[in-house]
Amino acid sequence: MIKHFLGLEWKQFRRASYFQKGIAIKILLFLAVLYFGGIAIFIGGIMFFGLKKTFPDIDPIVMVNNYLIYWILFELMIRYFMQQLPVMNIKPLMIIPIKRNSVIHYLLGKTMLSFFNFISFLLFLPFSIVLLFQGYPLVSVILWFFALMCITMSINFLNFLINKSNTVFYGIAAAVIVIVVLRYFNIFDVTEPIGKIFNGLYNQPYLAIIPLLIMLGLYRTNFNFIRKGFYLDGAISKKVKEVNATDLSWMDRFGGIAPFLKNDVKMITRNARPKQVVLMSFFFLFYGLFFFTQKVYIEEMPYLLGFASIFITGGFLLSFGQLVPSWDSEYYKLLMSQNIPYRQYLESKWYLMVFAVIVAFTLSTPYLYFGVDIYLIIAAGALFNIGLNTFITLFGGALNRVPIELDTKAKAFSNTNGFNPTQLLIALPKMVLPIIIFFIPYHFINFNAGLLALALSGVIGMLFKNFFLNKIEQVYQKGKYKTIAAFSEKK
Amino acid sequence: MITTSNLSKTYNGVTVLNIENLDIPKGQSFGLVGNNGAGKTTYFSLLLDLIQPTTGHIKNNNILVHESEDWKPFTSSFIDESFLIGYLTAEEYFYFIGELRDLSKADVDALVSQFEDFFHGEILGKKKYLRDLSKGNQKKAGIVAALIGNPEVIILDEPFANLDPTTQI
Repeated sequence: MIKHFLGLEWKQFRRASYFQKGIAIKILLFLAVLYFGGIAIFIGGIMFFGLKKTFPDIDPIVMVNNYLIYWILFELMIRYFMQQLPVMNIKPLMIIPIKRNSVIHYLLGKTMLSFFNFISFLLFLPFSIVLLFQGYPLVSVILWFFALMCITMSINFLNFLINKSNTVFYGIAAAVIVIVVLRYFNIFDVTEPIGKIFNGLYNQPYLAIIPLLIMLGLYRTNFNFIRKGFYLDGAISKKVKEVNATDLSWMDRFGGIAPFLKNDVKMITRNARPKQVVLMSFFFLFYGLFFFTQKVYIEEMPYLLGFASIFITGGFLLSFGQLVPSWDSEYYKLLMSQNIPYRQYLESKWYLMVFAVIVAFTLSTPYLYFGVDIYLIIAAGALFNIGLNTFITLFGGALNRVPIELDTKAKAFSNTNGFNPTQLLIALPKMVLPIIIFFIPYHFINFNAGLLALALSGVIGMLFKNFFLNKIEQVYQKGKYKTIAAFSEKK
Repeated sequence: MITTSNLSKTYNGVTVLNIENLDIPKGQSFGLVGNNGAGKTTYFSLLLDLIQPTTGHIKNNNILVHESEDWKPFTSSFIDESFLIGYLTAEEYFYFIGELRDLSKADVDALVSQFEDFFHGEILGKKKYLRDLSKGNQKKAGIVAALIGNPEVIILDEPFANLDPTTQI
């Protein structure tokens, strides 16, 4: 039975239309996987020695156990955003003599081979081996590692339940918030009792049966969940939610671009994939926390500040703008055959991105905490984003021809169009330009000159808006037939 | 009104369409029939400038279709579900098309209300996105949308497929 499924998968993989074009991308992805896997192994290997050096009187395994809860929460968060229950087209399989249970077992079993599970495996295996070499008791270590793998698999299955069931999601989210708040106000540190639990697991290895049972329990729950919904009107067809038609007529004041703006707002609020993008771009706001809290960046590598400021206000611009016009791929033929001046279409996307930058900029006011200088850099970066980055991004999008399914969440690493060599070439000026524009005046004159240059470049860009949009429109027109053909291909 | 000259389309050495001459005069309801795979949808795609002809051209009201966009204001079409915006409700979709054709909401409402019978109460006021309607209802919505704005040329591809027999006019 599995042979059949594997055969189908292989054919699907080989015959996907983008396989022929995307072989370079697949290789890059493979390398990325190797890279992250390598890092995991490396960290796992040196973790023991690193911990021993920093905390010489605490047993490294006790340290790991104490902070395991953070690792679990971190994994849950990443998996929630990026991991997907692999979907198999089960409609054709429902009416032929294949047992439903086989299909479901296969689906769930496939998830165990997910990249995320491998990371955990590659992280803790070297650590455990080092432990063994350091003379820790054999049975304890092995069963501890086994328990950890069961916990990883439990997270794997728990994630699907969180994704599928709103009640589970809110329950877990609420628990996380409670934990964080308690810790922040130093009322109660949950790592202590949880750490004791994991240490107990290590010290009494027969307790490893508990994670095993938890994992099996979660597997069963997932199984039953899918089994119940294994009807056409269950898991396969989307839930038909009642619509509250939003009245966006206040947008009509924007004139010709109003119909497109209204559609884009509806597109973002009513489809899973754009919602996912907007959510992720929100997290870009916090990028600065990483750069500005480390003195080393501010003092020794100030040119990187220009780079960082772009990301803070440019999250939406980069993640959404990169995929224009793919967002409209499902009805591209409609847009092409209607009386729609392409110029207006582009302009509406431009205004949308500008609006997002402005919103992000207002939300970044707390960065004043780091000083007026930092805030001004963010402001200059915002101007650069509005005046230049929008056009660069729109230009890159014109060369991008991957269709998008609006109502399905993107899987991790499925954003393969980002790895297309043309896209990488476009991405280069996006990152390098702000660094150069800021750094050269900063180096030769002073900090304020760098700021001024970055801000001015954005303003000048805005003045040339019509010129840029015209050029971009030309690119769209030239590639029109190729784009239509590419978007018509079904995944 | 629509003149086709020496039109042909070839994919990878296989000619899928070859029309030497075809004239469709104004005011005519022109039904194009052909076997499966004869090239009807290809012809429509060429007529709407969605694909490029290998040879020849089509003129819509004396405008070369693949060279100018001036035929778009008076041409409307509904070929397949990729002409629908799935995440809009039927009313929102009609209003969107209406806006593109410079019609007010009231005008669109007036036109669409004529088809209440046709819709059998399944489409208007249903609070459902187009993607959640049945195939036949989606088609109905698309056909009516193609009539918005009083276009001079309306192109419909197999409009009666999936429609219940009582609505086949």
